[in-house]
Amino acid sequence: MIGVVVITHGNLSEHLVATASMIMGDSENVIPITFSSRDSLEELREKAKEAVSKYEEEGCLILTDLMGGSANNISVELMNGKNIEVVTGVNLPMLLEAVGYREFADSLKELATRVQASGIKSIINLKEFFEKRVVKKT
Amino acid sequence: MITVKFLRIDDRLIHGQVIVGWLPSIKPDKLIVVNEKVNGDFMRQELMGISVPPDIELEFYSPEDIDVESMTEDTFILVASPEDALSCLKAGIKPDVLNVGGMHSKEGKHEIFEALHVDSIDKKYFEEISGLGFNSVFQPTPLNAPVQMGDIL
Repeated sequence: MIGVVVITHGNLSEHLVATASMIMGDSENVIPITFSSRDSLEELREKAKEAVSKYEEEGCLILTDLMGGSANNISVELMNGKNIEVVTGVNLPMLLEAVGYREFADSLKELATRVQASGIKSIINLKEFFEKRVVKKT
Repeated sequence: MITVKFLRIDDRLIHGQVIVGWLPSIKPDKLIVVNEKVNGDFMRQELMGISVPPDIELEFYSPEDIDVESMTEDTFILVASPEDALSCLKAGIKPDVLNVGGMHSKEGKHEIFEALHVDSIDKKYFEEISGLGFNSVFQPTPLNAPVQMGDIL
């Protein structure tokens, strides 16, 4: 099974993973990695390396929170030449898609594309959305 | 001698606190990373390039080879260590603010704050920096209260 590793600032990843299990039930091979301002980059790098090393064969999707953030910078180093894809800007719909779709995905690359699309699709300004619908109808 | 807005010491270089905290607050027109490793690492440069807002120009130098001519008064300089900060000052850069953001835990370093760890070598560089007449201020994000390095070292 493709592994999903969520790496974020603070404890966001743990809460995202716990919240996803609340909605979809517990699933295996979803690993949250947290880091605080006290941790050195070396510690974060080691934690991340250990997590992704379990999925060398089947591949690993890393979800990070902030483009340019430390979690993301470390993930890009890991991605180099390995069976790893990294998608930034993680939100709950993306994690749900990653966990729910990975069994059906033809490849890690396809899963990453799906997860990215689900994140973008999930962000909607609802007032604007309804205003546009009213305009269309009249 | 060239005056620039901000020089920050942060061993993570470009990361969340810089992108979300300092860039919107300082509003530089140019961000310069002075770091030996990054200067020779095209992939890290590319990654930094897409992390920084497109209206901020990004340049890279090795601490031994800083081009002061390319700097403007709205320049933001990032270095990873007090040693590299000292190289910038010796190259003739005069920052309005010398900010200390993050120096993380490493073997042999003593913790002052959770994001500030120093050893005797770091202290020596900070002394040299203050000997040149520059005040270093520890402040990880714009929302943290500034602390004079002279008071805590």
